[in-house]
Amino acid sequence: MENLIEIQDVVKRFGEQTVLDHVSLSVTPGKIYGIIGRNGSGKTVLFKSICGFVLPDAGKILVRGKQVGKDVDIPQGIGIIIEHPGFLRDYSGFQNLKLLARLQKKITDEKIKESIRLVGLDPEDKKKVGKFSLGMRQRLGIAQAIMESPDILILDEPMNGLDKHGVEDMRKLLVQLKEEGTTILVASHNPLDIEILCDEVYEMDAGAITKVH
Amino acid sequence: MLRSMCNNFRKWKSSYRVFIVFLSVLVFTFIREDYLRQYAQDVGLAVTPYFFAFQMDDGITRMLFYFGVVLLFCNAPFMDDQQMFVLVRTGRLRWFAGQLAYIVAANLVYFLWTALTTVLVLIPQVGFSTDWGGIIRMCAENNGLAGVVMHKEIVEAYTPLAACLITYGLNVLVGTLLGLVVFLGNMLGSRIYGSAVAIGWIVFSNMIDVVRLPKLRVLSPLHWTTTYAYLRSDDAVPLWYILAVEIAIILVTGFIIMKKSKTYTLDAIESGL
Repeated sequence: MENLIEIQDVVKRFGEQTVLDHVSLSVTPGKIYGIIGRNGSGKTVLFKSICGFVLPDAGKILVRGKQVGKDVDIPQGIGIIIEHPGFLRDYSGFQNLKLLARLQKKITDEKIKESIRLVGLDPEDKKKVGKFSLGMRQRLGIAQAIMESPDILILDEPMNGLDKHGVEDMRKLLVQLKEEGTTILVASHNPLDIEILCDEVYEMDAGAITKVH
Repeated sequence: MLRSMCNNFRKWKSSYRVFIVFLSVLVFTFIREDYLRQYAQDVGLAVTPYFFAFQMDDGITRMLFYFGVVLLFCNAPFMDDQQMFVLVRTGRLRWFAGQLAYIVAANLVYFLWTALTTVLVLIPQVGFSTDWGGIIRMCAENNGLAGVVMHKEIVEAYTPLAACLITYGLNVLVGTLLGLVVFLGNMLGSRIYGSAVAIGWIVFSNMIDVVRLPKLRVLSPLHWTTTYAYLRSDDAVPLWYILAVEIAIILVTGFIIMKKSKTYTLDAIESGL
């Protein structure tokens, strides 16, 4: 099967610090890939590199066969949550997502509402995002990532701030999305999330990646 | 591109920084026009809403208002957690083009506000007319009267609307120029780099008047915003030079920013919330 994402010997340095140290990884469609590692191990930079926010100093990243930074600047069809999901604090959850959806005009209001419902929020809720709890913002972040039905999801600590039920809901949602054919990359501190969800697990340490199982 | 630009404006509502900038302009203009307001009250005449044409002729006003410009754009290239969601949908080039468009549009709004405040703070002494009106003519005849500098030559040679529009246009151009300098500086160095360069340039511009070296006005964008820019006098910097240099710097910095945008590391520098 052709690889959806191909990371080939990628190196990234910020000043003297090597944050990605000859990282190679192949991602095939329809699986969930887990990446574990301590803070500062390079997970977030790896995700940002796949999205094209950070370009490698050496090596290359191919998404759907196109090299990031050369053939394509930001690969399309990727849903992301990287670090903390940020929203416009004076707008409701639905308004925030609608403003983002209007950038591509690919989906209807109904689809946005459906995504909000899927993560357990109320799309008719007029509450401003500035008043949301961390867990609600995280849920909205996930709704934002999935609303345009991307075939790749990149989720950096998606369970942050979620309560026990929220974590279970999200696990179910991610498994459902996988069954629908979405390829998912998840980074998490929690080994249990990774254990339950992922088909392949990698560990990052000081910028280097190794396969766990 | 326009949607990416509008996204930045939506953050103004919850930005203390932007609120402080706009409030400072209002407060400073209120203080600065106090004498004019008092004078109009004493002589019992209304002031026409065209003081804005001369607003930047005062060195302190220029400096403070352009510090405001730097404060507006100090977080360029405006990357935060929320922008990641925008960026992943627009791509780099459209996103960067949107940020540049934002700098122009934000200057249009900022200087519209500075113009508006010159009228707001004169209420209830404002009277609308297509002419300069008695108070401004009196002040122009007696330069420095009521604590404000107004040039007789401008009042004689230009209609108030024309003078206000030229002043507005020149300020938007210089604001855009400084905004782009902040943007490029922040991209090339750390986040503070662009602001430091722009503040240095503003202070240098003001020092020209302090040390009385008018010839250096050719290097001082702040002086290109005053009525001196279109005052037909021998020692004034020619308007053609001002426009040519402003447009050239804007185009060159814009071009470099777009070129650098292809490889620039897009990292959130502040929280979107």
